[in-house]
Amino acid sequence: MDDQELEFEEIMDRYGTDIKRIVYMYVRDYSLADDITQETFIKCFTHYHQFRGDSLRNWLIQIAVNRSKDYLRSAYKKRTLLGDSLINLLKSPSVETKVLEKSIEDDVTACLMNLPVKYREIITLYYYKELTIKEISDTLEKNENTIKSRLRRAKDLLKKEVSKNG
Amino acid sequence: MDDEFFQSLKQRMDNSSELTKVEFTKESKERVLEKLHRTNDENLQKRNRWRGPISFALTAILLLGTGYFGLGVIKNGNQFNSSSENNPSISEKNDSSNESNKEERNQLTKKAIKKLMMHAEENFTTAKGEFTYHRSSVDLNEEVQFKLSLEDPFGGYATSRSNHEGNESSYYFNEDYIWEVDESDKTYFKADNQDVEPLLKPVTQSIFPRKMAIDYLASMDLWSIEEQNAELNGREVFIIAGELSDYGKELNAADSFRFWVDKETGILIQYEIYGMDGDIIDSLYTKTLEVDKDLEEFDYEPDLKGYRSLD
Repeated sequence: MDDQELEFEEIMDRYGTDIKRIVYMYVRDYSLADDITQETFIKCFTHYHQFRGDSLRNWLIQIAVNRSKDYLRSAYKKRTLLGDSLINLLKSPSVETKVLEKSIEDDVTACLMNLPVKYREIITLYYYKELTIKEISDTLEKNENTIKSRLRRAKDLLKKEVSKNG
Repeated sequence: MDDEFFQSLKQRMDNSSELTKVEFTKESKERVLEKLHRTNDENLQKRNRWRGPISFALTAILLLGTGYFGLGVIKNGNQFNSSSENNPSISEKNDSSNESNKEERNQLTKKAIKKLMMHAEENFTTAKGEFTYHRSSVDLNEEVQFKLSLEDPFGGYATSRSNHEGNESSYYFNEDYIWEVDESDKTYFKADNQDVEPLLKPVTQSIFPRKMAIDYLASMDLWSIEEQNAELNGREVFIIAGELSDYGKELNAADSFRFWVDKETGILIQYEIYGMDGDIIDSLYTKTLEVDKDLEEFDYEPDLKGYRSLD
């Protein structure tokens, strides 16, 4: 293994799970999250020599977010062709998942997963991945005021969802 | 609940069984490295495949070039002799390659126009205007006024007055919801804003003409640019015109079309759809349009007191 490969391996060791969890928050499918995370790293390493930013992690997050949203957009189109029922059938959780013992942590995560994508992503990036407002604004290419108002709304919705589920 | 809940949110999520199962494994890393190897090998093979022929071609060009100039000097005593009068074959070749270059550039511009229309929402932040819309198949004439902002605060509204029993409707959208309000019946319909694209029903075909681009400009061979630099309502426009595909003709009961596309934003300022006999069967004419001007504060939510929900 040459030096560059060692460097790439180190990057994946450091950020792999981090990125995969962000992707999972969008697509909610383990195998898909793995595929998209692999694509994220391939894209990053293919253009590595062009990277001039301050934070490699933030760049990886941006690629991962864009890839995840591309998938969601194409899945949205497929949904309108195939119909919701078929898609739901294909993605229904296994029996094993259904009988998993639920903890408080599971409840909170489940509540977050119930939020619409645009609120889920803000909570994920701000609280879970601890990006600043500016970093989120750069990643999502939306102005900071929009991010702040969306974050306020997301927090309200999450609180309501958590209260509803006791 | 507030502060403590959100401060501990990260830890709760990390400890949840759903997310603890999400790990980027050694096998996944190996797949990434393998794929990179394969891509690098393929690129290297491509370079090597062309290396021989390219270096042969370069050598040939050098030798031929030297011979050509040498002969020119001997024949005419001039240093350069590339006049097309003396070289009709070169002139013809130049003409036909000029034509195909022009055709290529035209295709690029056609692609650029289509792309502009498909992504109009990326080219402006506010818009305000009015237009008339006509559809002859249902004898519909509609007057539409609208105002919208794509930056914070995000939202807009449109009012539509039609000749169908004086029907008046309003449409509103903000970050979270879309409303359709029937002012005549005092009823309304409210839905979540899915954040796929900004939607404001009566203005979508003009201000966000993605669907018009997809439906009418799909076959690049069936339409052309009539004018590159026309003017309409004080704005610079492309005028494009073409024929629908066989399927499009059947689907839309129409034959051909003409679009006036704003050069700066991709907004469809005007369009005419023609039937088989050349009559206009569907049209939109903009009366006024202002783009990227400051909008005074307006309400993105309708006042629905006294209105009945149809949900």
